[in-house]
This record gives sequence, structure tokens and C-alpha cells, in this order.
Amino acid sequence: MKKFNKAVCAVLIIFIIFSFCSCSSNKIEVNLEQNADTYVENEDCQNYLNTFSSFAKVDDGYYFVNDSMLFYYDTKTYQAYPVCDKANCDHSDSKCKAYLSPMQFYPDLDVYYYDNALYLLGHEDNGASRQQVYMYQISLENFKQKKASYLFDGSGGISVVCMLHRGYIYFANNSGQMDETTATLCRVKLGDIEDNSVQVIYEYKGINANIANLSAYGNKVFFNTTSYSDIKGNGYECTLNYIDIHTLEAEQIPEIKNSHFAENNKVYYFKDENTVNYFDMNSNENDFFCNIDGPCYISADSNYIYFDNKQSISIGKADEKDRKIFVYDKNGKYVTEITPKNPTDDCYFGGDDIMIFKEIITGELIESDGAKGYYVLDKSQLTSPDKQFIDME
Amino acid sequence: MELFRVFKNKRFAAAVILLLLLNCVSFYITQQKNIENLGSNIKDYSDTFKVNADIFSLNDAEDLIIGKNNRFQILKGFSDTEKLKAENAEEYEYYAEDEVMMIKQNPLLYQEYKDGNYSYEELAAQADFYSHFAYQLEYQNNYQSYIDSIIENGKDLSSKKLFSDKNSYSYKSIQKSVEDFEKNKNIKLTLVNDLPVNAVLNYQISGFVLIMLCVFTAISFVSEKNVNLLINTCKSGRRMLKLKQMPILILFSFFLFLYSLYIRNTNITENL
Repeated sequence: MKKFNKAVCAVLIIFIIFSFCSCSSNKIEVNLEQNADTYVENEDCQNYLNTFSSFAKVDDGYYFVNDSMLFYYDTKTYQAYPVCDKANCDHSDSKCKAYLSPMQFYPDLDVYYYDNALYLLGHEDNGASRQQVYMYQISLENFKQKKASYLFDGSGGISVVCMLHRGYIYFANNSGQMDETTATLCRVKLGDIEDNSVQVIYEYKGINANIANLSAYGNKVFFNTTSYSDIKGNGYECTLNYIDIHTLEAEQIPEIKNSHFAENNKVYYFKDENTVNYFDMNSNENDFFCNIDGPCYISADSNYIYFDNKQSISIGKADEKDRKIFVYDKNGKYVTEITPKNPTDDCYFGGDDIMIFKEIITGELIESDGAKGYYVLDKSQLTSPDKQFIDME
Repeated sequence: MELFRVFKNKRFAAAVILLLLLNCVSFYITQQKNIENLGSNIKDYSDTFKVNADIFSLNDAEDLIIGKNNRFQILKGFSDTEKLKAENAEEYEYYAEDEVMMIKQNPLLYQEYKDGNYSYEELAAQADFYSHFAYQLEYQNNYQSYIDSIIENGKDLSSKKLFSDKNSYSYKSIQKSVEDFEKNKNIKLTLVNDLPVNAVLNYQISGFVLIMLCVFTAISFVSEKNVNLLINTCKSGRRMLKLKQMPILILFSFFLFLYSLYIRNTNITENL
């Protein structure tokens, strides 16, 4: 009888403990074995979108963050709306489900996509000045948020470059000190929220050593390393490197200047300010692609390569009135050019469906009001002489 | 029997009475502080409350409340500016032009204010009282269009790609919201004096007091002395005692659960 009572008590205690537990699991399924040489839609870094765009592409639409709110843009109906399913919400305060609190997220940073979920950098305060930086997941099935991975300990503002590719978060937390420093490229698996899961995969030493411009294609992660030859800021050096995600072997790509874009085993880059070359990853050889008045930001979709000369305007090499996005086919043949609404507008490029822009007039962003200020170009109109922009409303 | 034993326990009864008294004192102090934050005092506030207690039953209550709200907001405005002038002349400079304009627009009310019919505390109490009910009236008058807009918004939302999957949580949640708000479509709201209920519902410490009551009840079971000690030594006696104590604990827990559910629902309703 005593044994029976003890068993009943044990069952009751277990029942009570489990009744306080949440039903949801923190486990995130990732495919670390993916080794395709080409772009894998649901698993790969969306490098065709500008790093600072806060856009993430899904089927028939894009998610994006503006003014601490998560929006969805439907490319079929050309409608943008907040990701909030509360019928009695006017999306104007922190009670809105689309609201991403700056107390938790860094909403100005990029939005990443992996396997039907969005990922955003966020933090958890640990005392007055310390905070732990995490990647948070927003499920696209039910829009619930949860911690996805621990990245590093920070203190207030962070200077991080980050990217999500084939189940791993690749990141570099740059110090910014004009001194002999070591920049580290790290990675952590999605779902690892313990602070001992971060793996250092590349180290670079130099004066004000930095790792920047992270991107990926196939089994390679591309990144720039930058440094100076002395602490006065002389002798700026920038190299383009890549690392194999399975063997973790790193290589350097010669000749690189300014921006680059990798796709289909080719890395397009400006050899000098007016010459675009590509580096063939199979043959390890450089070849000529086209001549453009550059330098330009580079992007590509399945059909074309895009060159945005905003970069040369920003360094004073081109005039604002000459702002263009030049479009070339994959053989290096000129196709067309796009003139944004205003010369200083941001171009976020995009997938095969649309090209995304954000209006910026005289150096000031248009006042944040939902999706106001964003506009798109339907890429089916790309070769048309009368290209019409569509406002996001 | 066991319930009577618990209630007859002098220490338990004393603890309950003490907790309830503490609750009353704490409630009074909290209310006093809230009223002081408005710039009034509890005497003027309760006088305002008493004088206007029957205003809701009057036929022209709506016009009366709106009229009095406008009047007391202006009178309070005069009073606030004068107070600022006395306390911070530099900051007052920013509002001096506004004051002149307000006097020009409301000469009679300014005269009424100057005649010294009201103290600052009295005006603060009246202005708060009427602004609360003017807000309630506005909410009441817009209620039908508010409900209509929610129903329309719900239908619009469920047609959007993100929320249109009929098996998704979002779609079901939107449909449930629309159904729930449709039930409120033809409800006619009437103005009632909700200030006392609001004060009690916004008073958070009572939940803590209720938890303390539950803790005291539980402790009263384990004060195993005298005859209980004897019962505890018998195998079946102990089981019977625990069986009798269980329903009492469940009863108290049930009250606590109902109370927390009520507070939660009230908060949700207020947020709608």
C-alpha cells in the first residue's frame, strides 16, 4: 500500500511539473549536409537583395521591416500590409502583433530567411550595460517569436555583419579600434542558444582589422577583409576571400577592387573603377565582363546582372543627375538602364519578379508611414522603353 | 466539519481580518495618491462624486456632461496657467499668449473663475470627473461604427494572402474575432457611473491579498497540533483528514482562479 501511495504521489508531482511546461519546442530543423553548387531557394542566403534592405523574399512576396513594424508585400496584388491578424488593431502602437520592439530587436538591421521563417538580430539585457545578442526566429506559420541562436555578448550599440546560409549564421562583430586587432569570422548553427556553440572559422590580423560584405553562393561564403598599414589610417587594404562551408578552407581572390557579387561559380567585381571582371571559381582564372562607369553596387537575378552607380555618386565620381542602374545579360551585353524616381533613392535590387526602391529626397528618408516611400519595378517591364514604377501602398 | 475547524481557528480568523483591513487601508492610500496626482484631494473628489451621483439618470445627461466638461476644462485651464505663473514665471511666458486668447474667447467663464467660486482642487476634481464621462460618451457614440470597422477589417484581412489559409491559426483567429464582435453589433451602450468599479479593478494589491489568504488557509491545515497530531498517527484518520482538507483548498484555489480570470478579461475588454 505504501508503494502504491508513493507511486500515486510521484505521478501527481510529474503531472504538476509538466502542467507548468510549455508545449512548444525550441528545436529548429536545419540541413547542414546541403552541398549543392547552385542556389537552393529555401536554405541559401538571399544575396540578390541589398544587405541593408531589411527585405526577405518568399513565394509571391517579400517581408520587410520599416519603423519597427513587420510588413508583407504581395507581389501579385502589389499590396503591402502589416503582419498583424488582429481585426481590432489599427497598427499604431506596441500592442500590434507586427510591432518589433527596439527593446528586443535591432529593427534597422537586416531580415534573414531560412526554411519558412524569418530571422532578426535581437538582444536580451544582462544588467545595465551588458546584453546578450541573439538571432530570433519569427515563424511564418504562426508568426510566433523565439530565440534561435546565441551570437555574442555586447554592450549597447553593436557593429556586426551577419548572414544566414544553409543552417548556419555567419557573423563578424567588428571592434572598430584603430589599433592592432584581430577580426574573426564566426558561425553558429540555427537552434544553438548556448553560449559555447559559436565556432571561429577565420581570423584576420591587422590595424583596424575588419570583416565586411558577407555573402554566399553554393558551398562558399565570401567576405572582404580590410585593414590599414598604420594607426594614422594610411595604406587602406581590402581583399576578397572565400571559405568553403564544409572543409572551412579559405582562399583569396586576386584583383578585387570595391564591390563584388558571386553567383553560378563566378564572382563579378570591379577590377578598376570602369572595368568589370569575373573570377571563375572552377578554373581559378579572371576574365573580362564589361566596361561601366563605376564603381557600382552589383547584384544579379536568374537573367541579368545589375550595376547601381549610387556608389560612384557617393564618392563624388559621378553626378547625381546621372544616377542609373545598368542592366547587363550574363554574357556581358548591355540590355537597358533604370533611372530611379529620385537620384538619391536606395535600390535594394530584388529577385526575378521585382526591383525594390526606397525614396530618399535631398539626403532625408521619406517620413516613415507604413510602406509609404517604397516603390517597385515589375521586372517583366525591364526591357520596355516606358518603365512604370508601382508605389507600395 | 474541517471547514468549520479552519474558520474557528482564532489565528486564521485574525489573519484574515488583518489582511482585509490592510487591504482597505492600502486601497484608501492608493486612491488618495491617485487623486493627489490629479491635483485634487479626496474630500473635493468625493464631494464632486456625491453631487453628481444622479447625473446619469437625467434625460439630458449627455448634453449636460459635454457642456460641463467643456466648461470645467476651460476653468481648469485658467487655474493651471495661474498656478504656472506663480510657480515658474519663465515657463509661463510660453503660454501667456494662449492665456490671452483663451480669456478673449471665454470672457464669462474667466469672470466666473476670477470671482473665486472654485478652488484649484475643486476644479481638478470636476474637470477629471467630466472628462472621464465625456470620453465614455464619445466611445459610446462611436461604438457602432467601431464594431462595423472591426468586422469590415476582419473580412478584408481574411482575404489577404498571408491570412487566407482556412486551416491557419490566423484565419481562424480573425473569423473568431469577427463572430465575437458581430454579437456586439446591436448592443446599445448606456452611460453608468463606472468610477468605483474602475478604481477597484485597477487596484492591483487585492490580488496579492487573495494569494496571502490562500497561503494562510494552507498553513492552517498544517498546524498539526493537539488532536490533529493524534489523527496523524492513525493511518486511515490521516487519509480522511487530508480528503476533507482537499475540497477547501480546491475551493479557495477556484476563487483565486476565477478572480484572476475576471481581472484578465476586464483588462482585455478595456484594451479592445
